[in-house]
Amino acid sequence: MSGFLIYASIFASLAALAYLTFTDPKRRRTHGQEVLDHRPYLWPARIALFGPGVLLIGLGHWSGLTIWAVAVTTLGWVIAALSPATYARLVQDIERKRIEAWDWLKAIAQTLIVEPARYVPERLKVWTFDLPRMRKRSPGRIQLAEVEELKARITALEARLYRLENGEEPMTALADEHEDNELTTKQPAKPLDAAE
Amino acid sequence: MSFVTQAKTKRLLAVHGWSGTILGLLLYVVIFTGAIVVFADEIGSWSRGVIGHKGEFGTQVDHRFRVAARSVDRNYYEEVSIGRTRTGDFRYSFEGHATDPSSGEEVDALVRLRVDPESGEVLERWEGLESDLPRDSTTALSRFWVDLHEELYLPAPYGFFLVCVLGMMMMFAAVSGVLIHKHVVRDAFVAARNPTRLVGARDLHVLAGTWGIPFAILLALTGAFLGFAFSVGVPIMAMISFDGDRQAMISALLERPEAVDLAPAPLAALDFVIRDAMERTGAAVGSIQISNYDSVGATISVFMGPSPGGFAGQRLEFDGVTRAFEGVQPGFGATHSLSSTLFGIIRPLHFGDFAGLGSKIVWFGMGLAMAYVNASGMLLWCKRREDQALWRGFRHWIMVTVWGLPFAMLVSAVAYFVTVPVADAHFWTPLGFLLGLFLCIVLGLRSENAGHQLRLANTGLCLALPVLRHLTGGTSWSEALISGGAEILVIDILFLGMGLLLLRKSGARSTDAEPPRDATIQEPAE
Amino acid sequence: MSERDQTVASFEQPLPSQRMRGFARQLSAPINHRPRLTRWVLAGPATLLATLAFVAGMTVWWPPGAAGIDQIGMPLILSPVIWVCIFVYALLDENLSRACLVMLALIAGNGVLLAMG
Repeated sequence: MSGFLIYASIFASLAALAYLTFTDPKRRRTHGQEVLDHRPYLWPARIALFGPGVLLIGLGHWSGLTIWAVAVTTLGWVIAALSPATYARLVQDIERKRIEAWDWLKAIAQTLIVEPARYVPERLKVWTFDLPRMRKRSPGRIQLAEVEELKARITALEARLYRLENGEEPMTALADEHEDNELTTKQPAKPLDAAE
Repeated sequence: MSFVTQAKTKRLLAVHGWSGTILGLLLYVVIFTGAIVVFADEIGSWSRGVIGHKGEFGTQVDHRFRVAARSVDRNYYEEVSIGRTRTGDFRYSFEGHATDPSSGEEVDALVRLRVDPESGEVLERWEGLESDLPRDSTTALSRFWVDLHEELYLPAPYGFFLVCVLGMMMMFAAVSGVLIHKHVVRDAFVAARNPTRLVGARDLHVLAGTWGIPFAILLALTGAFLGFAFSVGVPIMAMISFDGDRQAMISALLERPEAVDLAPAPLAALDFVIRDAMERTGAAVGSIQISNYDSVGATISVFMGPSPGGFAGQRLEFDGVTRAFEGVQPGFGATHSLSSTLFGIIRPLHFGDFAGLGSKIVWFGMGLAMAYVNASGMLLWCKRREDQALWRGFRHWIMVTVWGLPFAMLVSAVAYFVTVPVADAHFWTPLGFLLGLFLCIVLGLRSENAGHQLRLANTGLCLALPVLRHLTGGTSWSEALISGGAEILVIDILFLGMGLLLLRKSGARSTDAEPPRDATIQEPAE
Repeated sequence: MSERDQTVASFEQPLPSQRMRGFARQLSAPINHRPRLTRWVLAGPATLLATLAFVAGMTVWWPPGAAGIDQIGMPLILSPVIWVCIFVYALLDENLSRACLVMLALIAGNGVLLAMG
């Protein structure tokens, strides 16, 4: 409880300090930032800054008061010492990191949730419905994987054909695609080449 | 501060700057080592490779203590203390008097037992004169770093005295800094403009100084007092109030005049006393002291840690036979007084150890900030005089000191780890530090860019130290984790992290192509 | 000498207050002649002496408190603060003769206090 109280006091005061720092007119002027069109809310910020200290005095929590005061002045110095340019760079960095992290999360979600959500029902359908039906129709060994692969290729080719016929894909792309296909079929040979 | 005219400012600045120039490097040593030895206890258990004992005293003390006490002569029952060592064992100390065989004088002598907390088995017994007490070689590193902070490793009164002068100087620097700068509040949020130029360098120093004022004064005041009170203050006070009788003054301050009945009587049950003390204060027991053990006049003092929200620990006193509570005793004097209260909080306020690790971390951060104020001030003073070769040279030596002090401290740590299994580390650790200093001086004389090179050396040492600690038989991480010695792990990680941070910084420096020195010199001083 | 001449002469004579001022100026001449040296002496040894005297004097007038030790403990605790106050004063006062007077008064006053107490 007492630990939480101290952390909360430090946090509240630092938030107020950050507000006072970023709205400080002289700081904005010397660093060539635009002048704010409204006066900063000084008194609410000052109350938030010193309030926790008064509270700790009221509670007679002297060690907490000291920790609060030292932490606020030390970290307050750090807040005030970083220039607006540094903050701008920090914000940019954080934004970039945020976007990267978001993309990463999306990729993870794609492989862990979206793909399986599409794939698992399909598989289930094949196992529970298609497979018994095929077994019934053609006794003997069924190359299930082969059937599946053929089906997939036919679907892809049909889609491709549709796109080509409707002019959605330029003809030149065909050559690239063709090369890609060749590469994928020749893949086992590749590491050997590299080893040489 | 409108009463500070320009002439006054000039005078203040001269004293502020020149005192900083003359004593600033020493002050830097005191402040930087001070920030480090906030963690003296943790560094102690880290370097010793013993698992820190978290201070639970337990309430199963009585029986084992009585059994152990029976093996000790009654002569040593005058002052008995019970504490726990860092390894978690109990330590019983029995103090009495003996005749010194060489001089024939009555001197303090003691019997010390180290007892296993589980089985009650006596693990170690030491008996002899207090002055012959052996030094534990494994405490060498933390002890040396503390010595460096407290007395700059100088002989007894001079070191304290010098550090006290440095403390006074620091206090004056803080006060005069406010008077010189004048716009302390108005400029509190103005970050440095261009740190490579003079005005930017001034901004850096002023801003750090502004935020550090209250605690610069607090630390300097308490530190100056701690250094000064016992080296200079007490003798002077004794001269004034007790006609030079220092012993009379100390006994007036510390001892309660009492006629003690020494007739034998059994001691009250300690376990009840401990439980009673814990219930009264809500704090943990630090140690117990029993005066005149096994007699009618026995008293039991229980030293408690700080209770929640408080600064200083308390000393609770109980009757040794009836175990009646006799009240909370002040640190000194017969009853509570303003000065004993202040004395009680000065130590925790200076050491920052009143609320466990939380307050220590805050104190450490503040100490580093103070060191920054100090170093940036000296650099600013040199930057103003950059057109003179002498001051450029001084700037070079400031950089050598700023990076060389951590370097020498790290070398002393290396010396400690290498020698502690085989030799007296109390001798080799300071020698390692001196070797580090010597290397710094040689490097400073030979190389233009010594600061940078020392930083690289620090990087390597920071990364190597945890490995070295491990190789020389220190506690492994798994061992530390299993037995709750998290500080060993944390300090290792701190060193590694610091090394990586320095590595990254110096990497960034070399690719960013640091502006060459000539570029800063060409710019006219403002 | 006519009455008129006498009046003129009496105007030329310095008034008692003027004479005092002249005396003071004469005394402070060496102080103001070497301002830098005076400042060094004031802020250095004189400040140390004054601090010592003040701290010693405090043992006489500071209330001993319930435990009877405050008159020793408090001067010890406050001595760094006292030194800083006197030191800053010695640096700041523009009027060097006044600063010298204050220092002398501090040292002598507390010395007397100590001798009596």
